[in-house]
Amino acid sequence: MTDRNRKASTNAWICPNDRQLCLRAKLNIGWSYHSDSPRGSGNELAQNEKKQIMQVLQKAENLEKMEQERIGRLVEKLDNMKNHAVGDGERSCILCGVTFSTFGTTPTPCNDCKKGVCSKCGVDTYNSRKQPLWLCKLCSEQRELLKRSGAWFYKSMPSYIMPVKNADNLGSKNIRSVVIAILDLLLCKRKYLNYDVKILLFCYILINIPQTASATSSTSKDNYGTSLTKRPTMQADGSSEDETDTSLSTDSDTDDGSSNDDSIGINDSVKPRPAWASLAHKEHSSNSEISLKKSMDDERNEESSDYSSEVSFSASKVNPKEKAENENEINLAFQEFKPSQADFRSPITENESIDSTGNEGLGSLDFSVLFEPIDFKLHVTIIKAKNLKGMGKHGVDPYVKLQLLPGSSKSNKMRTKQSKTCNPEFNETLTYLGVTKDDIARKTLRVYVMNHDRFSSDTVIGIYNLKLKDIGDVMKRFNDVPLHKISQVLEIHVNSIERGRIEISLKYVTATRTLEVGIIQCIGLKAMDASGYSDPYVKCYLRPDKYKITKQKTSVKRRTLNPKFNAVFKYKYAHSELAGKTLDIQVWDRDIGRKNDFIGGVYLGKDSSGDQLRHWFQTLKTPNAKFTHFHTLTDELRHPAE
Amino acid sequence: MAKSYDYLFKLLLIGDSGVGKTCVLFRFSEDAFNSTFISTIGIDFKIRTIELDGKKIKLQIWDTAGQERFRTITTAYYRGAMGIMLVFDITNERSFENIKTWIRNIEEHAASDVEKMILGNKCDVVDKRQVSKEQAQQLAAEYGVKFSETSAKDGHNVEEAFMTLAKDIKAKMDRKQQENNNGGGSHSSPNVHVGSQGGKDKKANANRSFSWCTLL
Ligand SMILES: Nc1nc2c(ncn2[C@@H]2O[C@H](COP(=O)(O)OP(=O)(O)OP(=O)(O)O)[C@@H](O)[C@H]2O)c(=O)[nH]1
Ligand SMILES: [Mg+2]
Ligand SMILES: [Zn+2]
Ligand SMILES: [Zn+2]
Repeated sequence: MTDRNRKASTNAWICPNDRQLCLRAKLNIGWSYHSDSPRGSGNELAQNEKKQIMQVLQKAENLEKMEQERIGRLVEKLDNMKNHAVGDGERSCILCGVTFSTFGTTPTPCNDCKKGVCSKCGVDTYNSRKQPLWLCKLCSEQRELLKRSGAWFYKSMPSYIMPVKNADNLGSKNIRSVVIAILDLLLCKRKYLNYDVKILLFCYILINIPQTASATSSTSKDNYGTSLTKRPTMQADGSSEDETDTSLSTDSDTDDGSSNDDSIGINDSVKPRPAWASLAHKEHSSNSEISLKKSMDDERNEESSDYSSEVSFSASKVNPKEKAENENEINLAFQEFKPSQADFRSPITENESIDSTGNEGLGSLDFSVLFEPIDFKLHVTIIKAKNLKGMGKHGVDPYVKLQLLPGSSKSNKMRTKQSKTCNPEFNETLTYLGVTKDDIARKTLRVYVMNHDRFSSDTVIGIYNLKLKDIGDVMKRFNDVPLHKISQVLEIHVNSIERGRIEISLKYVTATRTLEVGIIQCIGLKAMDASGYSDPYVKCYLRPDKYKITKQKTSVKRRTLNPKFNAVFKYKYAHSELAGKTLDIQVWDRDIGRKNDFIGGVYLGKDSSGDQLRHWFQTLKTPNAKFTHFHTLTDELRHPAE
Repeated sequence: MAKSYDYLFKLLLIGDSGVGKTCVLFRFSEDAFNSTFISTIGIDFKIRTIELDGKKIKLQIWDTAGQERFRTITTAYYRGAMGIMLVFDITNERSFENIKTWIRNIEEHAASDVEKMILGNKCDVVDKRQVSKEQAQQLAAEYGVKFSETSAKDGHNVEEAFMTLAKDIKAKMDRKQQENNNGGGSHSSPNVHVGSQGGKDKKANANRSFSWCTLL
């Protein structure tokens, strides 16, 4: 418990101010120049320079918000279309539902979904090779969304904000006044509680209010979602970030006109998770009073044990309007902040806003989680599910599937047995092995309640995301957690995660007639183990290689996604002979006691293309010179059985 | 209400300090030129909406500081860029040499399928030229990227360069989106496959003939 608190405090409370958080969030990767340069060195930015950069970021934020709203509207449009599609695509048009007949309306199959569609509900278009293409309106809209949202480039849906619906506004305002009253009460008791903590608290409490009461305020500021790291963030319907912010700034006396920062996500960089976002992710309670009280208690507990370090900073901020304070704030924002490599690669996770959207009528789930740090085990017991939404024509055959994110799909999925009812009792414990504290700190357990479909592929009934950092090391039971929908457009394909890059040097030495292949390092390898890491090594062949005599291997680097190998493989061949050869470089994950996993590979030879071809050609063209390049690993494995 | 657009492309300008990145961008976004040198602090961006094949494309063009001390900030913006302009100054050989370093930076920090283009700026300054057009073309061919000589001062080729880059990105987008849908899927499938492998191969094939020919 104490350990957990300490962790929470060091991770969660170092960030004192939402503006700083926000800024750090945007500066983010690579923002580490303070770390190795002594203070006052020429690298340091001047105050006015920092301000200027902040202004640009602010400008970018506004733009970004508009963009997210635009994408939100597109998503909504597509969702609406899907909801209104009534046909089955076989006997009737998938969209309008008109019945097909030989002499009346005849179906034309959609090129993408292969469902039958009438002439009114399809679109005639062209593919990139200018060949005609017939698509149903759903599929053409879906294609368009990929382009319009930038998903085609970022390989998943970027963050977006769903259009606001007005109905919720009134209720949430009442809630807010209650919350403000509570805050004031708290403030009396806590002398050193400053503006920033107040905001943290505010957000925390807001987010902990059960959904029925505050659909509006519960969006949990998750707009830090990044599109770059491919993290889709879905805003709940009826959510209004601005509302929340307005009340924040009027509530506090520290408003320099830019406190709306936190409502806007930005596309361009990776965002570290703000402290309160993680706090906000505690389990939901079904009773509003209890949950409010509980959050206050929690807050107080954490505060009493952890705030000492915070005091000095807080004390120096008595009058936040002073200019000096402003600068202090800016400086803090510019302090070193390095998100972990893993966060950077994380494609999914962080779907708080989905979690907080409340019951969607998909059913609920009871489960428990226990982490045993000493044995590196994570036990997940799926107890039962209730009121599962029936799907398909063949009734429900539900089962539960687990996934640890980020992580590759293959190596970390587990599932329960199948049941046959809408209220299945599973009582099954699934155990992840090799789970470290580090994993717990950064990973999300995604629980999928699936419906097995005997006639086609299984479908997702609903999901629940649990941030593991909130579980501690005692058994935590989660009762009646509401399942959430995975938006059809949204769900990212886990396998589309990049496999990483490899840095290779090539040199042909004429004196010894040797090709020297330097395996320098890999960056951002795909995690193959449930632990979120790989144990990578590199294999190299010079093909064609009938007798398999060219195979060379590096050593295995343990538990890393950025291994440094600095190995050199030598191949003695005449220059003329090399021209017809292809270097086959493969990165593997060593799995003891199991088959090793192929992470990715790269081919360099006359049949390669792009960078690979160029690199190979450079090397042959200019002997005795060393050429070093990064290459993107692909999943192509031409000679699997070796 | 803001102007509507179909697609948002994010571009990035990189290159040594003083080569004219800011001026090139200023020419493109405002069609103006300023001869006083105000070195960029950290990062900035400009917006311009263009039209290609009847589609409105909003370009958000990030202008980075060439100065070394801002490197950590500027590299953070590589990842999100769909297209990158590498700018050097034809009157400054050093800035041309450094293009290689900038390319390496891209390899390290940018998305792997980012579109690239090299610009030799200040081509209006005839008497102080240090880098020949052929030299630059040769380098561009080695890296398989397009090259163009520009002048922010008289506006030569600036518009064309950005249009070319945008066109290349759009072509890639259309191609990718096409490939993603090959083989199809059903509405009940929760997954959107993006960046499928089959697609990549096709693209690679298309590239192949081009690169091999230009190299030999
Ligand atoms: N003659 C001529 N001068 C140019 C041209 N483009 C830029 N300049 C001049 O070159 C100087 C530097 O231009 P900037 O655009 O500010 O350079 P930059 O690349 O943005 O530099 P940093 O912001 O420090 O990275 C200015 O004095 C410009 O007037 C050009 O096409 N022709
Ligand atoms: Mg500049
Ligand atoms: Zn129809
Ligand atoms: Zn279709």
